[in-house]
Amino acid sequence: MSALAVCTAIRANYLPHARVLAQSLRRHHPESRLQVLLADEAGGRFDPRDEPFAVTELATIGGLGSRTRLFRGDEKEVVVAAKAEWIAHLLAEGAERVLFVDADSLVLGDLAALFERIGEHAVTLVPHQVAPLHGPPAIAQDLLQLVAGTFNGGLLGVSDRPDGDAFVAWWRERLRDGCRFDVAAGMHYDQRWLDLVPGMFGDVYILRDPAYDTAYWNVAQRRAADCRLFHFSGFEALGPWPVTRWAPQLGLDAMGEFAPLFDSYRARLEQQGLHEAAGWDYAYGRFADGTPIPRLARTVHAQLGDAAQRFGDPFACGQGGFHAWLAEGVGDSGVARLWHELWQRRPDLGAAFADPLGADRAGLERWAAQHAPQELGIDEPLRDWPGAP
Amino acid sequence: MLRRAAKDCAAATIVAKPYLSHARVLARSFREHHPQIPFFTLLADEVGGCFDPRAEPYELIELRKLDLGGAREQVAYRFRYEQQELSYALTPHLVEHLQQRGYRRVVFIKQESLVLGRLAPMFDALSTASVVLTPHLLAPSTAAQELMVLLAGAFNGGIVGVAEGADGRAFLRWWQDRVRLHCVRDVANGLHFEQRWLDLVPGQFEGVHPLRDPAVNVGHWNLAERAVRIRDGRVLVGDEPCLLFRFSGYSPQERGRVTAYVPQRTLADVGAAGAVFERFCAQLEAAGWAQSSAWPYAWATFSDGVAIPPIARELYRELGDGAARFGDPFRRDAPGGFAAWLGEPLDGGPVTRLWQAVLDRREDVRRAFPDPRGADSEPFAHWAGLHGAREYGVPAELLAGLAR
Repeated sequence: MSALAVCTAIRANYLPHARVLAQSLRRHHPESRLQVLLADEAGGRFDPRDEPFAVTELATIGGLGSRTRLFRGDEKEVVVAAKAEWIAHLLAEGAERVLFVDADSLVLGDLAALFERIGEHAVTLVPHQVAPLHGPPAIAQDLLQLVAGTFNGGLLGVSDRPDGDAFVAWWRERLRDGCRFDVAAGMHYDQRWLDLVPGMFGDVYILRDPAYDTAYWNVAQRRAADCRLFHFSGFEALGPWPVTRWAPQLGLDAMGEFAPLFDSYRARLEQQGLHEAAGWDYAYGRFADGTPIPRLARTVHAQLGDAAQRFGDPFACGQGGFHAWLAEGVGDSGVARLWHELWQRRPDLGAAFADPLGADRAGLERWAAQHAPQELGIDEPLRDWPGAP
Repeated sequence: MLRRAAKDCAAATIVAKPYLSHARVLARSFREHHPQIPFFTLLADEVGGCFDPRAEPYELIELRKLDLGGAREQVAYRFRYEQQELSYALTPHLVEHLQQRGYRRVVFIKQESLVLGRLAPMFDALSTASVVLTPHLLAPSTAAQELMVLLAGAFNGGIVGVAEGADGRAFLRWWQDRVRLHCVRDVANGLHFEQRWLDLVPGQFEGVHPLRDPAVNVGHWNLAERAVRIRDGRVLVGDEPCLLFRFSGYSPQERGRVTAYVPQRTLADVGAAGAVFERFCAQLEAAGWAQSSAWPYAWATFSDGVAIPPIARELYRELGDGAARFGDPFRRDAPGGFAAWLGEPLDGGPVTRLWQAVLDRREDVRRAFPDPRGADSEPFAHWAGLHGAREYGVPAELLAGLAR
C-alpha cells in the first residue's frame, strides 16, 4: 500500500476528540498514526510527544500560518481553512493518499476499503445523503443541504495525482478569503466550494457508501451494523443540545440505534480530558495584552488588505500597531476608530447617531459601553478593549 | 451509435407563447443536425388562436396532456408560479411524459438555445448513464464567477439528459417533488428555480454522468473559459465544433447586452462570440419574434382579467396542499375561493390577508406604521395605495377592503 496519511485539524480544546479518534483508528488499524494539525498552540498545556498521534502546529507550515491570516479569520474559520493547507502540506511531504477526517469522528470498523478507494481517484467526496429522501420533511432536509453544500467537508480523500494536486491548490486559494458563513453570497465555510469540484476537476469519485460519514443528517437511512465511521458533527458533550448544535431541537431518540453511541462517546471524551480542555483558550483569540479580539477588528484588518502591513504583527499592542490604531480617536473627535468602524457598518446606528464625531458622540459611546460586547459576540467587560469609552 | 439507435431518442423544450419564436429557432436548429430525432415543444400556456400548431416546425404538446398529479394540480401549477418559473418547473414532467411515450433517451434543452452540431456526446452518454448533467464550469475560474455559479447551481439546467430506467425514473420523481413548491429564485435560502436542486443529484442517484465536454453548453457564464471562434461560418470552441450555444438571459429587446444576469456586459466584450448572439437574434426575428413576443401569457391574470400579483402566488405556494380547499384559484369571484381569502380582513380590522403578508415581509413598513389596524390605519392605507401597490404589483381591484 502506498504512503497513506490519515489526518485531522483541531484547536487545543478539541484535544480529547483527537485522542479518541486516534485510539479508535489504532484499534482497527494498528499501523496507522493519526496526523493532527493544531490550529492553535500547545502552550505548555499538554506535551505533544505524549499524545497517541503526531502533532504539527499550524504556525510552522506557512501559508495560513502567517500572523496576518491567523488574525483575520475567527477560530472556526481558521481551523476549517487549515484543512486545505494541511492536506497540501502532507502531499508535499510525500504522502500519496490523504484521508481527512473531522476530529469529532469515531472509527467503528475496518477502513481498508476506504483507504484503497481514495488511492484510485484524484479526489473522493462524500455526499451528506447517498440516496433520495421522500416526503415533506425530506424536502426540508434537502434545502438544508442546498444551503450547506452537497458534500460533507468532514471526510474527504485526495491523492497525489495532477487532478488531486490541482484541486487542493484551488481549494486552498479559495479558502484564503472565502472560508466564511455567508449563504446569500454562496459560501458555507469550506463546504459549498466542493459543489463545483465534480465539474471542474477530472477523476473525482463520489463515495456513496453508507458505511462512512454516518451522522445526524443520515442516521434514519442507515444501520448501526454497517457503520465504520461515525461523525458526531456539532455534538457538544458539555452543551445543552442532546445531538448537535446545528439542530438544537433534535433529541437522542431521533438517533435510533445510534443513540447509545452518543453516551459512550461522551464517556470516552471525559476519560481523555474533556473537562480540562474545554476551558482552554484559543491562542489567536486575544491581542498580546490579553484583550479579546472582536470579530469586527478581524474584518477591519482584512478589508485594509495590504495596507494593513504597516502595522506589523496584528496581535501586537505597541505604538504604531493595529491595536493602537483601533483605539485612536478619529480626526480630533476622540471617538475610537473601532466604534467608528462599527457605526459605519450599522445602518441602525447611523440613523440613531447621525453625528457620531460631534453632537452624538456621547450617545454613541454610551451605546457602545452598554451593548457593544454583546453585539460583537464577546462576553467580557469592555474596559480593556481598544478605545473603550 | 447515435445514428443506429436514434429511433429511441427525443429532444424537447418548454415555452410560453411570447417565446414561441425561440422554440421555432431551437427546433429548426436541432432538426438540421438530427433529422431522424423528433423534437417536441411543451406549451406552458394556451394556444388561444394565436398560431396554428400544425404549421410549427416541432410537435406541440399541450400542458393538459402532462400528468401533473390530477386535474387539481393542473390548475394549481398554473397559479403557483409565474410564467418563467412554471416553464422551468415542468421540465421533469415533460421528460417523464416523453419516456412514457416510448422514448428511452430524452434530452431537454431550454428555449434560448441554438443547436450547432450533432449532440452525440449527450445521446451517447445516455446509453450507459441514467442522468447526464453539464457543469457550468469545467475548470477553475475567478472566485467571483465561481460564487455566481454557487448561487445558481453547479450544473446548468439548459440541457439535461435522462435515460429510461429505474434510476432515471427515481431522479425525475424526486425532481418533480422538489419543484412542485420550490421552483423559485431565493438564493439566500439555497434556491435558484429548478436548477440548484441538480447539485444534489450526483450524490443521491446511481449512474449520474457530469458531461465535461466544452463543445456542449457554451453560455455567458463560461465564455471566458471556452475560446469561441468562428471559421468559415462555423462556431468553434478551441478547435472543435461547438454543438450547443446558450443565450440565457439574452433578449432581442436588448440586443447589445449578453445577458440580463450581467447587465453591464455587451456583445463587444465577448469577442467572436458576439457574432453568435447576432446570428441568434436574426433567426429569432425571422421566426416571428416581433409577433410572438406580443402574445399574451394565458395565466398572468385571474379569469376576469385582473393581474395576479406575485405575492398572491407566493402565499398560494406557502399553503401547499392546504390550497386545495379553495378550488380554482383563478376565479376571483368564487365565494370561499382563494381571492376571497386574500381579501379577508384579519382580526376584523382593515388589514386584509394580502396586506398582512406585505407587512410580514417589510420591517421598514411595520416600523413606519406600528398600528396599521388602529391609529396608523389611514396612513398605512395611503402608503399601500400609493407605494405598496406598485412595489408588489397589486392591481386596484385587490386594494378593496383596505381602510380608506
